[in-house]
Amino acid sequence: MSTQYPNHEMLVELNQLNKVFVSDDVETWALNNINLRISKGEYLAITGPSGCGKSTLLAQLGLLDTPTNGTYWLAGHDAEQIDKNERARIRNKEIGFIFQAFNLISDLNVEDNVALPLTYRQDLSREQRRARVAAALEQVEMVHRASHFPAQLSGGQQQRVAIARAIAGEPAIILADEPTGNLDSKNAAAVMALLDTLHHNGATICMVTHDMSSALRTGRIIEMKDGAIVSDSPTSARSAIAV
Amino acid sequence: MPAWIDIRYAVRLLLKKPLFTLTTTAIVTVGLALTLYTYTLMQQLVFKPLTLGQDTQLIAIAGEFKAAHGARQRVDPYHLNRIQAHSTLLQSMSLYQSAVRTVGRLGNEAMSQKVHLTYVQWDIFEVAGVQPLLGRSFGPADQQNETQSAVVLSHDIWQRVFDGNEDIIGQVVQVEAIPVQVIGVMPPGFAFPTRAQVWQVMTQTRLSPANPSNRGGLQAIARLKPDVTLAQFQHELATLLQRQIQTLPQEFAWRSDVPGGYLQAVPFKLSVDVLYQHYSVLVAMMLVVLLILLLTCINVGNLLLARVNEQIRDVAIRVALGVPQRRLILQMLWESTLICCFGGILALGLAQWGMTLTNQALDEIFALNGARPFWWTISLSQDSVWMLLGAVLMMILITGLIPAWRALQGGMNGILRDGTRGAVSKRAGRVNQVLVITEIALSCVVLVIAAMLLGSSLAAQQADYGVQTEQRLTASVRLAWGSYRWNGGEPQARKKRNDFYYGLKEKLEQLPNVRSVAYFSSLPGTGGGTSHFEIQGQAAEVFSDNPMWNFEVVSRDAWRTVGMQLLEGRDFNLTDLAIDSRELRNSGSPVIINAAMARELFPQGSAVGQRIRTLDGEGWHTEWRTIVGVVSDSIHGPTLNATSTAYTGYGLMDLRSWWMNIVVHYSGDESEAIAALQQIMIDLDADATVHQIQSYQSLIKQPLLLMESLNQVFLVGGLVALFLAASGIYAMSANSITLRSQEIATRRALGAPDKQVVGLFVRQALVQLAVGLIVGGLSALWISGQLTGAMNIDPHSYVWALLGIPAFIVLLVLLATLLPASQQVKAPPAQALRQS
Repeated sequence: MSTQYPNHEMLVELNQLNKVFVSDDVETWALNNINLRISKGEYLAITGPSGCGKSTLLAQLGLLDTPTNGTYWLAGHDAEQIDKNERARIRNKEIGFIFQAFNLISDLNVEDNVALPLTYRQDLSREQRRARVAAALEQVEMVHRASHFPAQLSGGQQQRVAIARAIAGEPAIILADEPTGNLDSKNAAAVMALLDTLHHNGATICMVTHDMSSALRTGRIIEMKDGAIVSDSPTSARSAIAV
Repeated sequence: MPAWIDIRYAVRLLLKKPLFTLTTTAIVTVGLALTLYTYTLMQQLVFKPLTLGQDTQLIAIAGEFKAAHGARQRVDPYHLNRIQAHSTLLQSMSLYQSAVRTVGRLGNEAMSQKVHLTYVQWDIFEVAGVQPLLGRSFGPADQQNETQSAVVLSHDIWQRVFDGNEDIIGQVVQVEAIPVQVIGVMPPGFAFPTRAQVWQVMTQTRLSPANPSNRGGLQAIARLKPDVTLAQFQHELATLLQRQIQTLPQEFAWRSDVPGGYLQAVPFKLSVDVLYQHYSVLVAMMLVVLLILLLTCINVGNLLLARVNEQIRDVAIRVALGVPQRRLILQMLWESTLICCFGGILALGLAQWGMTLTNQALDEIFALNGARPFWWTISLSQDSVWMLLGAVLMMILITGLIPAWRALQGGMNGILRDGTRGAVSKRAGRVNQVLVITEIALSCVVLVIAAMLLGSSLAAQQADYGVQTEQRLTASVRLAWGSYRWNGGEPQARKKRNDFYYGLKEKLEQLPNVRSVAYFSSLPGTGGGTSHFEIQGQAAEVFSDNPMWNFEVVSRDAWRTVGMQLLEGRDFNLTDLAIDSRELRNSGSPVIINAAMARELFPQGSAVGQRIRTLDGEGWHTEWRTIVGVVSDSIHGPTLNATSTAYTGYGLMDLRSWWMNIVVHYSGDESEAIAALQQIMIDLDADATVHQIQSYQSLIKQPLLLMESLNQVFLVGGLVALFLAASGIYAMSANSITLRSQEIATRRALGAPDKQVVGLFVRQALVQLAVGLIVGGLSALWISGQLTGAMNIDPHSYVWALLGIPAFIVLLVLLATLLPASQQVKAPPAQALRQS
């Protein structure tokens, strides 16, 4: 698995980005002076101990939160300049989310869960939506469970559905927050294999993980500590050190 | 020991959130207090059987209640006597007839007092099971004595009128200026059968009338044999009546016109007409209060549920640590138990306060006419306390089990693993939806009914009765029975009455501060009751298709005195005042009708000259009356009563009445007018008495006071329901949105615009609204349909309640959806995901 950084087209660019939480007059620097670039087609992992700011960084990348200061460019958009509705549109079209807790809607069946982000798009016809859902489910091998509800699925299956939901919109980047955190090793391996395949097919994936073996499957590992990036290196370098 | 730990844990939880504890306790207190108060009120007024300390309940056997007349059908004593003689299911039975009479010391007529006198069969006190405090009870011989009647005094009359004189037994006093002998004094508080202050034995002649005109307001009170039900006796009653009609001797053949089922047996408390008439209103009130109690339970249950949702992780940890299910439920129940028990204690005080106010209101309502049944004093009883305990227990179970069910919903592993508070299972979501729908439906029923009744009551109070009430004094003028005997209506008797009534009118009108004086059988705004009538040549094929009217008799100058106008034709004149009644009948009694009747029934031409007569379904009718004039509209009877009608006919006061309502239009000070009226009454005839002197405004208000008091309960109930509905619907909707905070965050993360997220919840709220309002609206319609038989629902209130309340609920639900949903989408999705 080779990394294309930094030669490929730039998708994400963070400059001097900070995120400060203030509570009871105590300032917590969740993100501290983050500079990060992600190119199209990259597959990278963000690692670090609990509370180091991994998920906060992912939330910034996914436009789920706004920074305290600093700049963020995503696919040519300056995040600071776009309003709430445009952020929602970008999240819908350019970003695919995979959560640790799957976050499937319990009232909707598998098919409807996968179709959910597509229903917020104006540029797709019903047929196109159906086709995309079918393709996504086929990719994660969940077609046979299309009419089931989340409660009827195992954790691994639920995460596969969540992955299908993330890729159905053909996003520019997939953001995965501990995608194997709630899974046993067998299911975790299957999910990781699925992400590998997606990457091979051209997807840009940014994954937050505790699990070093998962991180080593990517092309680049960013390590964080106390809200700051302490190392950013290709996986090959890590592998060499490990060897 | 574990129980003590759980209690301490529950107390700690309650103290940790004082606002929550205060809110839930306040809701519980108000709900329980309202239920306790209404239950006690209804039990003591209507539902709890009257036993007077004995094992068997007292029942009434009376004429069927005719809603149109607002009174019971007259009863033939012959039938009651036969039932008394032949019934096998009755333990005892006695007859009585209520009346209002004057009682005083012999030879001191001016000091006579108007009292509620009850003519009774000699064994009435045996049926009651109460014996006199002084003297003796009636015996069979008293009933046979046709020369001097015997009376028994109530303790109150003995004290007030006869100064508690212990030598009263054996003394001769006067009733309506007729001498009677006092034989006993009853114990304090005894007013059996309803409001009696003096009991006079009925003579045998009165009990065995030989002609139909003697049918009167005779009633019977009885005790059923042990183990006999009211339904069994009702069946026996119908059978006995049927058999009697079939085997009537020739001289009593006229009695066969009485339909077999015209007598009915009812629990004694229901024999009070105003309660019987408004029975469905009372049942509706109980129903509404029960619904409020249910609303309270759901609201408190929901508040506790919302709290469990907040603490679900703590609960999951307890489950993980091996707390048995039973213990977990008990922990939840302790919290509810503490809230409900504390609320119950406060409710007891609040309800007691309400009862004190009600007793004061009843004192005020019946201050003038003293017509308050003796059991109408509201106080906490053993039954009420048991009911409160039952309600508290039910509340503990409902409010404790709802959150306990949520806590035991499984998925604890997921909760522990994800720490997700906002994740809600499909079933929990459904339950929440059902709770919201139930809340909407219950609120709709309670608020619609409360709004209808309150609106109708308010409309009745503000109704235009078509008269001027300012500077009008009203009173009841009563001729003494002994001094104005009718004796078959010979001219001298009529002349004597005529001289009195018109003499009083002329003397009063000579005073400088009196503008005019008139008499009415019932003044507009009071009275009421309707009968069918037919127009000559336009009789309906079916009797009941004939129109209905209210018929009153008035004196000359009636219209001028109360501010009505003669619109067409002529007023009553001196010719109409012909003393000889036969002459009057031959020329066709004159009648004056109101404008609405003339306009609607004679649209083609003038009503003047047309002839009409009153009739009933059994072939009886009055003579034809000729319409001589048309007056402006007025309403007799409170507009709240179903017996009120838009059509009224007025006949000339025919002087048969030995009491009339007088109205005095005065100028200047009211007290001077009152003093003048009282003085002239004494000057004219010391035997005649004047009672219930009050302003016309207060007279009109009088019949509404009881319903007004009941509506106060509805008002409190309505306000409580409004508060519960508003807070409950808001809390439910907000909670249901909070429960889905994870879903909201996920949808937003997936790119759902905020408007669409909010729109999703609004759409779901609209579906819940539609279901809730359909169920609630239909239920409210059904209940209001039941009420229309007992009272007039004001059309405006009806429309406003049926449209306004659902609109209010729609607004409330939309607000309760929009506010929390907007709140949810205000925060960045990352924060929502983190929190959920």
